[in-house]
Amino acid sequence: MDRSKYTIEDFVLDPDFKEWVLAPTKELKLYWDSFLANHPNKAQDINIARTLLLNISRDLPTVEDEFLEAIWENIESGLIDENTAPEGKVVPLDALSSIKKYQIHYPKENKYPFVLRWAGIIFLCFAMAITINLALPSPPIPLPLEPIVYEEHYAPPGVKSNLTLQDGSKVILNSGSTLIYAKNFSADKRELELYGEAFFEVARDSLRPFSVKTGAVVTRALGTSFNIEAYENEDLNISLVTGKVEVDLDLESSSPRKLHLDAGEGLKIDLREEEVKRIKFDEHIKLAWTRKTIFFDYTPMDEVTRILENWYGVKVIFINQPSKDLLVSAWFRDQTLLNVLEGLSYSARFKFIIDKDQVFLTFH
Amino acid sequence: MSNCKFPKLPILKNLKGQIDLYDIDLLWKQLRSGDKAGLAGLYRHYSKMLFIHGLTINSNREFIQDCVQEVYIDLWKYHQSLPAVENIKLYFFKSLRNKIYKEHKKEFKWTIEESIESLESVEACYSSESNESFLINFQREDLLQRKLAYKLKELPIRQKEVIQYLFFENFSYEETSKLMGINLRSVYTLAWKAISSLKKSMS
Repeated sequence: MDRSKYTIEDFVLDPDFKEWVLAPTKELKLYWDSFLANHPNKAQDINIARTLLLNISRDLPTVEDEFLEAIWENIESGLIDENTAPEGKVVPLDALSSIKKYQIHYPKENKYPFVLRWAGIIFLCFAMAITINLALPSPPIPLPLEPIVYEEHYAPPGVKSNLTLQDGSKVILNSGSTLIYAKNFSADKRELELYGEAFFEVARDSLRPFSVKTGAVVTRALGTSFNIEAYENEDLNISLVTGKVEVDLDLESSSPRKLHLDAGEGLKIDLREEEVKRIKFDEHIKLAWTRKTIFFDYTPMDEVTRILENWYGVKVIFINQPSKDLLVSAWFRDQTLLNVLEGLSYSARFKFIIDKDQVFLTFH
Repeated sequence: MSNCKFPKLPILKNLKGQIDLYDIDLLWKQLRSGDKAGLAGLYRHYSKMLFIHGLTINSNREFIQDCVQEVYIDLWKYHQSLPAVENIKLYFFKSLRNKIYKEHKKEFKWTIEESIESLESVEACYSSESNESFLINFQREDLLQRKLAYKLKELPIRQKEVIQYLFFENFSYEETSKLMGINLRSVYTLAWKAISSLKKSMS
């Protein structure tokens, strides 16, 4: 990897860098001096990486020598001592190995002689090969490989995008969201990556699974429609409207697993706590955004802010912090920002000022 | 009682750096040939390291004690079939990991709650220590270290584990990949995420 493109994390994780910080040699000093001279813009990152490396610490549990000694005595008393075992007594392990030996040396008698068995196996192979050849159509002529061109589509705040993909699938991309996909899907799969929220209507193609990657979670479908919300620092929500999807979870603290969803079912995934909940959802609420409707349903203020910022392309600034348990419920169909804020200001009890693309909120 | 009583040696007082004084390969050979002194020696070298590592990723003392105990009892039980191992430290860490995860898989939920609950109660018997003693020459910032140690404890278990191996046990990426049974890329990604979280707690 090119060190000029390093992030702070990459520096910390680079063994050469670590050595330079912790146990520098002449060569390393020369190298990094010249690196810094050539990339002065990296000096700050390098400094942060260095501080982190020097100070990375762990809490050290106390393990007393007496404790270790007591455990050793525990272990010793649990050992099977070979020397003190009475003579002639057979250790179970040995017995088992003897039996194994016996089995190898005197295999069960076979009904058929060796040659006949092989003849049978070879005949079966031929028979299967012929059957498979007859039963299956000849393989399709391989298409010349086209280079994969990735397309990145970003819907800026205030704009929702309607996309039709090359395979006929339709995507509505919510404002402030990004979708990355191969312009020409490959012959065997359709893969996309989503940051933010989108609604997918997947064109049926049973040979090419349609999968949407959102971090550690992949949602896979053949022909269905579903909604995914994958906003940074919020729960990941997958809501299946029609058909079936399979969700691959590859979370930190558990081994990868697959879950299946039926129509009307959804998953709520708390990525921080790594909690996965299966939920029923209301289609009218989940898909309201595709119908010009903002729907708040016991929504925390942070999420309200994110939705309004993306929807109207504004920046919301809190003059003072709202109480943590403030939840907002309301809906607005095709309304201006002014109307929405006015509506919210009564129930959420705030005053607001709109200044160009900035909104200031003061909570009571 | 047997004649290989757990010996009190300076190595327990100063674990780091002195391990080379003992011929670990020889101890391993002794163990394989059924000499209990080999097992005792290996206990002397690795038990403290294993305890510290184990307790850092799971603060339940009894559980870790069982795991470490089992590692040594198994070694003895199967000493006749033990392979000639090149990297003995790696072998020990891998054995401990297998023990921990065998139970951990079943009780994953419990550990998370446990570790959060017991954070304060365990605090008393923990002291904070920086990664390497040779860092003593550098000017370090105590508060920052405490912050980083606290954040490290809060990371998801596998991220915590990867940092332990790479930064405190000084395993290489290759060794860590073997230990955790994941490919090099995943080791890097996991470590990257962990460092990224630690970095955030610096500001």
